[in-house]
Amino acid sequence: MKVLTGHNRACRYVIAILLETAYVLILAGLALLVAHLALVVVR
Amino acid sequence: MILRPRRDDHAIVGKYLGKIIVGIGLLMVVPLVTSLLFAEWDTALDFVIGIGACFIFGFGLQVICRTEKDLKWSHGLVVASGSWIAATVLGAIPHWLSGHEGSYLDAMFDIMSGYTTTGLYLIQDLDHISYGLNMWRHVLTYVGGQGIVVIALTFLVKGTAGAYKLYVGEGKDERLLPNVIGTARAIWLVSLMWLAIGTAALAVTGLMLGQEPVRALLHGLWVFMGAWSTGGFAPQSYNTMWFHSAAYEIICTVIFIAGSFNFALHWAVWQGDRRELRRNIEILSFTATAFITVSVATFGLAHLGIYPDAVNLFRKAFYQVLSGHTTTGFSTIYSRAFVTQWGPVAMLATTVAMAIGASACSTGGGIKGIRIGVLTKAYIQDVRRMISPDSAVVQERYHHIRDIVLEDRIVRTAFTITLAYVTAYAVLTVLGVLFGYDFTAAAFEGVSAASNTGLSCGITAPDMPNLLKWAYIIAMWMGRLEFMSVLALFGHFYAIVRGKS
Repeated sequence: MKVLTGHNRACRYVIAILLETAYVLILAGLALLVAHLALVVVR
Repeated sequence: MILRPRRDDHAIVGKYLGKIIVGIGLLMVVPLVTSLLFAEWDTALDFVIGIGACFIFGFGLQVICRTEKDLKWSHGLVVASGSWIAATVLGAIPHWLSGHEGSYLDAMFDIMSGYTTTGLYLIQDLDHISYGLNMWRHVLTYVGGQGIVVIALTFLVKGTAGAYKLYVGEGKDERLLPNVIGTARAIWLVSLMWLAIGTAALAVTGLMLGQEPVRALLHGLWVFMGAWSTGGFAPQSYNTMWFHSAAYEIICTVIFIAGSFNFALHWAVWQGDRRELRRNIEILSFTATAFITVSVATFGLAHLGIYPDAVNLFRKAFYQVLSGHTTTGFSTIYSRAFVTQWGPVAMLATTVAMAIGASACSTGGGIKGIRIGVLTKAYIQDVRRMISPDSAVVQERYHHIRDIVLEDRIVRTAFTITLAYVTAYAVLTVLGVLFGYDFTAAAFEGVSAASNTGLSCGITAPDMPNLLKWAYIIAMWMGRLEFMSVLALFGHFYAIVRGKS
């Protein structure tokens, strides 16, 4: 296994957190679409 | 044949229980320092008494139960479940002394709710409690999210072979690293990194909303702890609705969804395996069930027409249902609004989301995404077998950190735990109905307690029946430990009474 330096490790951790955040934002975008669709269908 | 535990068995259980109780006492130093910083002398005294009680019991047990023997499986399970009881009884002391609780039972309810990351509470006049007590509520929910045993493994227990048994006893069975102490420390590393970033984001948002710097920082820290641990405690009685801020809600959503992920998943992504975020069965299961439940709730709410536009509808449905699904319990509507405004369709969708819950080996509760994923795969496998020729070998696989072949053993375990949760949900619902609550409300609140969510539709209140308080306390405890450790504790008591010598 590759040995990571402290700097590399910190970068990876931050990228991981950003990735996890992006996943949630994509979910939120989907939910907003559903909300639009729901109002269009109901009205 | 069940054997009666010997003196050595009691000594091992007592020794490790003592260590964990000392850990609880050390934890109270955090709110003690907070109350000293804010010159809250009465609160400080409450914590000094609490710490004293923990040290007397903890060190006392270790002195009485001296032994060099290591833990066996049954000991690990009994210590894990017993430590949550001890932590609740002793952790309730400062709450009870604060004068904000109606009784010691109410104080224990709040502490069990905190440790198990549920978020239901009976504390009165929450908006005016001391900084020290608020710190205690949130620290214990943050610590409960990682697991009381994980703390003990990190700081107090040396790396014995028995340490892994304690860890499994707490409902976590994934090794992030070959060594269980290393695993516990990895869990802490992930949590502390998120703590730094999440608290900073919330504190800056609080400042932009006009909060005083100290208050913004403390609220940021506390709300982070409530979100990351999927606990649901917040410093104000209006929960996160108090902030009236879309930015605050989005940051909370990111944090509580990240908190609901399996620590093994976090660790894999943190080690550079980014594909895990797309392939992991729990992520796929969560995405599917979250999409379905949010959609059903959204259509239900759109039909009732209580939110005028899509953005408002999205904000309320997405936040509440995902808060339920991740078993967080944050809310941006009044408790009674679930009954009076949301109606049965959206309430049912939220109840189902809460019942499914978060990921295994996370801070969350509920049946867990991996079990839903495994059971779905098992159904698919059975259908494939039915439509395939007799000679065909049908084998399903799923991906969780590595590719795993779906074996009957895995399906059986998933089914057993799922059945235990469903039974608990049903029992609490029936109990709620027996006490005169509406069926939908009783199901909502019962599932919320047993899945460690903490969303309330108004049943949980200081004047609720004492029997229901006890039932919710036991349900929170059993749900958090996924039943097996608690059943082992009952078995231990049974063995003491009826076991063969």
